[in-house]
Amino acid sequence: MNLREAVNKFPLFKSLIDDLQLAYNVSRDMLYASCFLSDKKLLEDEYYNVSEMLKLIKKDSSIASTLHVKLCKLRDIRGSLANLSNYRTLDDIELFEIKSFSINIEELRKLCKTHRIKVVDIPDLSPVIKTLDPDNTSIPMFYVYDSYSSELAAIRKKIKKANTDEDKELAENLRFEAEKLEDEVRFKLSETLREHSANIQKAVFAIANLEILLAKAVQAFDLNLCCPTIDDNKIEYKQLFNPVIAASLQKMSKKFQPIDIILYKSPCLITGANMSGKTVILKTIALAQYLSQFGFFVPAKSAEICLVDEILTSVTDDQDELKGLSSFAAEVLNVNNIIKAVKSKKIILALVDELAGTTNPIEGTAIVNALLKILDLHSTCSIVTTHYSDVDYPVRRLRVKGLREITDGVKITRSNIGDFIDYSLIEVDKSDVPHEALRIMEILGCDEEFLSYAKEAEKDKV
Amino acid sequence: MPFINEILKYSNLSIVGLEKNTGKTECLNYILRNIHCKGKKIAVTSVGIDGETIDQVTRTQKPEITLFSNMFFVTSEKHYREKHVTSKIIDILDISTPIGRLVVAETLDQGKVQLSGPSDTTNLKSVIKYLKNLDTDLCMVDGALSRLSLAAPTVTDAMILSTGAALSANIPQLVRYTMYVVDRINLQQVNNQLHNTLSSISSGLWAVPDMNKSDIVLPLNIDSVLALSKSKEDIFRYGSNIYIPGMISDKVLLMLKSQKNIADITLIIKDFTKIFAQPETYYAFMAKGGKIMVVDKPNLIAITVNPWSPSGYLLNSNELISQLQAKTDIPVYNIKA
Repeated sequence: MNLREAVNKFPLFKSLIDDLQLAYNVSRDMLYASCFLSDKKLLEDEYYNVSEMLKLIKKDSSIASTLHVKLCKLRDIRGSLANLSNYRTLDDIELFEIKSFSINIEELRKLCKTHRIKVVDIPDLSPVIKTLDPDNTSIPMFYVYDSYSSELAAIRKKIKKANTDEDKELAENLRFEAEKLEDEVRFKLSETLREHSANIQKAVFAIANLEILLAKAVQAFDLNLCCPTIDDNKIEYKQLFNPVIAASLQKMSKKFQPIDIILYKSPCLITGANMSGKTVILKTIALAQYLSQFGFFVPAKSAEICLVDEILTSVTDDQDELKGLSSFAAEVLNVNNIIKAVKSKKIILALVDELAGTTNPIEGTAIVNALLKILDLHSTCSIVTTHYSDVDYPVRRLRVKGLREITDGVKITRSNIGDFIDYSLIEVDKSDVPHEALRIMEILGCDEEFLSYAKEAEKDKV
Repeated sequence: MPFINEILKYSNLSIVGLEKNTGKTECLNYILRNIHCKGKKIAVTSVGIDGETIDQVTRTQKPEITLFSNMFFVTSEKHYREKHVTSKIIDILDISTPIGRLVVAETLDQGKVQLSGPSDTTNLKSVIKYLKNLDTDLCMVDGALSRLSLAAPTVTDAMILSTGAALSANIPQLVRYTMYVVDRINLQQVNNQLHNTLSSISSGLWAVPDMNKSDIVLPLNIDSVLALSKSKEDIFRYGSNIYIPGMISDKVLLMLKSQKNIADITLIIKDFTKIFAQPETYYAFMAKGGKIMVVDKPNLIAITVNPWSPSGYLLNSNELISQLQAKTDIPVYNIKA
C-alpha cells in the first residue's frame, strides 16, 4: 500500500497529510508514492533522519522557513530531464529551467552545509551551472550566449549592423544562419548535460526527500509528536492523543485526554459506556500505526510499535450505504477480511468497533466470542470493542473508566459532559459493562416520559 | 510624432482593437518604433493568445511585433520557441495559458515575436506588477475588444483605441460604431468613495439612495438582471439610482426606458464593456433622459484608424479622421500614413 491509498482509506490521516507544507511538486508526488514500510531498518533510518531535522528546528526555528523559501523557488524539471535522457535536444526554456534549478540546488547545498544537514546527499551541480553559465554571471537567466561560439557572435554583430542599416533582407538571412548555429550550440549543450543527468536526477530526489523530512519534522514539532521505537512483541503508547480531534477540541477551548495503552500479540476487549471514546481510541491507534509505518512521528509522549503488514479495521461509520450494503453486511465483510488476512499468516493490526452491535445481544455476544477466539488462536494484535456484558472468551480486558464521581452542586449538561468522563483505560478481570446509558441520556436532555419508560423496563429486567 | 510624448507620461498602457485588423498591432509597432530610442525601459505583453503570423479568422497577414534591443516581453512557451529575435529568458511565471506557461524575456537585438499573455484580469495585474518590478518605465498590453472585458479598462493607466475599415467599409457607419464605443468609454465615473464601495460588489442588483453617501448601498434582493422581469418588488423603492455590476443587455435598457421615472434613473455599471446592448437601444435610453455612470473608467488617450480593410478596400483616411475628430475631443491618428 502506498500513502495515497492510505489517506483515501482513512480521512483522519488525510487531514494530517494535507497540512504538511510541501512547496516542491516532486516532494508531494514522492510522499504520496511512498510505501507502508514494515522493514525495521528502513523505518529506523527514516526516524533518525526526521529526528535530526527536528533537532535542527528546535535549535533554530527559522531554518524551516529559510529552507521553505528556497524550496518554493524550485521548478519541476522532470519533463526536461525526461527529454534529455530521450536524446532530445533541449530548447532555451528547458535549458533555462535546468540552469535555474541547478543554481537553486547549489544554494540549498551550501545552506545544508552551513547548517550541517547531513540527512540527504545533494550532488554537486556546479559543472551543470558552469556549462549553462559561460559568462559566470550566476544569474538565473539563459540564452545561447555569444561566448559559446565565436562564429555566432560574429553573425549577431552583423545582424545588429544590418538592423541599423535597415537592410531587412540581409538581417533575415543572417538570422537564419544564427538560428542554425544556435541549434548546434543547444545540441552540444544537451550532450554535455546528458553526462550530468544522473546527478541532476539524484538532486531532484535528494531535495524532495529533504523537504519530506523537513515537513515531517515540522509536523512533529508543531503537534508535539514523539519518535517511535520498534518492538517485536508489543505496542505501547504513553499519553496517546489524536492531534486532529485535539485541534478541533481546542477551538472549543476543550482538551483531549491522552490515554495509555499496551497491546500484545493477542486480542484485547475494550468495554465502556456510550460516549466513553472507544471509537476514538480505535481510530487514534490506527492513525498512530499508519503514521509510524509511513515514517512519521506519532502523537504520544512515548511510543513503542510493533510492525505489521496491514492495518485492518471495522468501524461502524464506514460509508457503505453508498455501496448498497446494510451496516451489518458491511461489518461482516470487513470482519471476514480480517479473518482471511489472519488465516493467510499476514501480520496485521485488527481494530474492530462494536462488533455485531446492531444485532440482538445473544447472537451478538456469540459473534464477539467467536472472533476473539480466532484472533487469539492466531496471536493477532487486535482490539475489539463491545457493549455486550456476557462476552466470556478469556482474553485481556480493558474498560474505559467512564463517568467520574460527581461532586454536589455541579450541573452536567450536554456541553460539558465531556469534562466528566474519564477516558483512561483500566485493566479489568471480567466484563463489567457499566450501565450508564440511561444516565447519559438524562444528561443529554432526553424526553422525560421516554426516559421513565426506559427506566421502568430496565428495573423489571433486573 | 503624434502621442508618443503623451504615452511616456504613463507607466502602463493598453492598446485595444475594435475589431480584428483594425491596426492594433500596427499601432503597437508604431509606438515601439518611435519609443525605443527615448532611453526608456519598455515591456510588452498581450491579453490571451494573439500575434499569430496569419490571422486565424480572415487568413490575412498580421504583422508580428517588432521589438528592439533591451526590451522586456512576456509571451507563452509556444510563442517563445517561435520567436525571431535573440533574447534571454529571465523567468518562467506560474501562469499557464493553453499554449504553455508565460516566459519573461529580454531582447538582445532587434527582431520579431508573437505575443500571448494571461487571459484574466488577476493574472494580467500580476504580470504588470512583475514587469514593474523589473524597473520598466512603460508596460504595454496588446488587447482586443472581444477580450477587452477580461482585462483592459481597469488594469492599465491609459488606453488607445484602434478602429478601421475592418469594422465597416462605410465611413459614416464606421464613425457611428466607433463613436458608440467612445461614448461608452466616456461615461461619467462615480465619485471616489462610491467607487471603492461598489468595486467590491460583483453580482446582484443594488440601490444607491444617495450618490454622495457612499456607505449606503442597499441590496434589491434580485440575484441577476435575468430575474429582473420576475421581480415583484418595486426596484425603485430606494430611489432611482441602480447599480448592476453584471451584463447590461437590450432587455435591461428597454425595461428601464419604459419606466415613468426614466428621466431620474441613473444606472451604475461596472465599466463600459458590460454594456452589450445595441447602439439604438443605448441611444434611445439616453434620449429619454436615462443616465449611465461607471465604477471603472479607462483613460482613453488616443484613437488610431486603419483605412485598409482585410478585403483590400481602402477608405479615404483624411475623410475618416476628420469625420471622427468632429465628434470627439480625443485625438485621432492614422498610424499607417
